Amino acid sequence: MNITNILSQEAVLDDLKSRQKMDVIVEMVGIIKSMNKIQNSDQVVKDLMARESLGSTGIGYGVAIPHAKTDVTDLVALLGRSKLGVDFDSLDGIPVKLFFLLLTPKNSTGQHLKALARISNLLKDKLFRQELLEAEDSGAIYKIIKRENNSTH
Amino acid sequence: MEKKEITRKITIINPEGLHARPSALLVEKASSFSSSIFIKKEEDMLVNAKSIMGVLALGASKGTSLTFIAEGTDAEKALDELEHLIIKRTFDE
Repeated sequence: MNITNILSQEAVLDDLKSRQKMDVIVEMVGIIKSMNKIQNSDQVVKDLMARESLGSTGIGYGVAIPHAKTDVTDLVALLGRSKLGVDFDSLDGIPVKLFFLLLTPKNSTGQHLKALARISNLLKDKLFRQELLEAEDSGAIYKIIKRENNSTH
Repeated sequence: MEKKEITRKITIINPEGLHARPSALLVEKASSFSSSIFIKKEEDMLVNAKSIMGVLALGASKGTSLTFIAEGTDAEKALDELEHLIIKRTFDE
C-alpha cells in the first residue's frame, strides 16, 4: 500500500490547536468535513470516541492512530501534528504529537489492517518521527512522507 | 544457566487479524515476560513482540502464519501464553 494514495497534502495538518483528547478528535474531523469526505461530523466523532473507549489508540512514542469504521465510501486518512502535545491516555503516558487518523467503510476489514500496518511501519522509525516533528510546515511533512514511502516500498 | 531460544509457529485466526486492539493485548502479554520475543512474518519481516508499532507493522490478517522466537528463562511459558491468547482467547473478540 502506498501512503500517498490515501493521504493527500491537504489532509496534513502541521499545527493542531487542541490540547485535549475529545477536542483534538473534533478538530481533525472538522477538517475532514471541510474536505467533503464525510456527511455527519458528530457521528464520525462518536464512532472514533467509541473506539477510544475500548482502549486508547495512543500507541506510545507520541503517536496515536485514532480509527473507526464509519459512514465513508472510501478510506479517509489524515495526519495531524500537535506541537505542544495532547494528553491521549497513551499506553506509555507520553503526550501525543503525531496523529494518524483513519476512517474506513463499515464493510471493509482488510483495507484498514493494511493501512495501519503501513503507517506503523513508517512511524516505528524514530528518526522518521523526529523529522515529522521538526518539519517546517505541512508541505515539508508531506515531502518527507513521500520520500520515505518511495524508499521503503 | 544457558539461555535457549525456542520458536513456534502460530496462525492468526481471529476474523479481523492483528489490528490495533489485539496488537496492544499481544504486546502487553509479551512485555510481561523477561525473555526477548520476536515475531517473524515470512522471511523478510522481523519485529519485536514488545513493540506495538512493530506488531502493527506486521499487518497480519486472518490466516497469516507467524513464527514466534523467544529467548530467556521464561521463553516456554511466554510462548504458551501468547499462543493461548491468539488461538484460545482469540483476543476476547
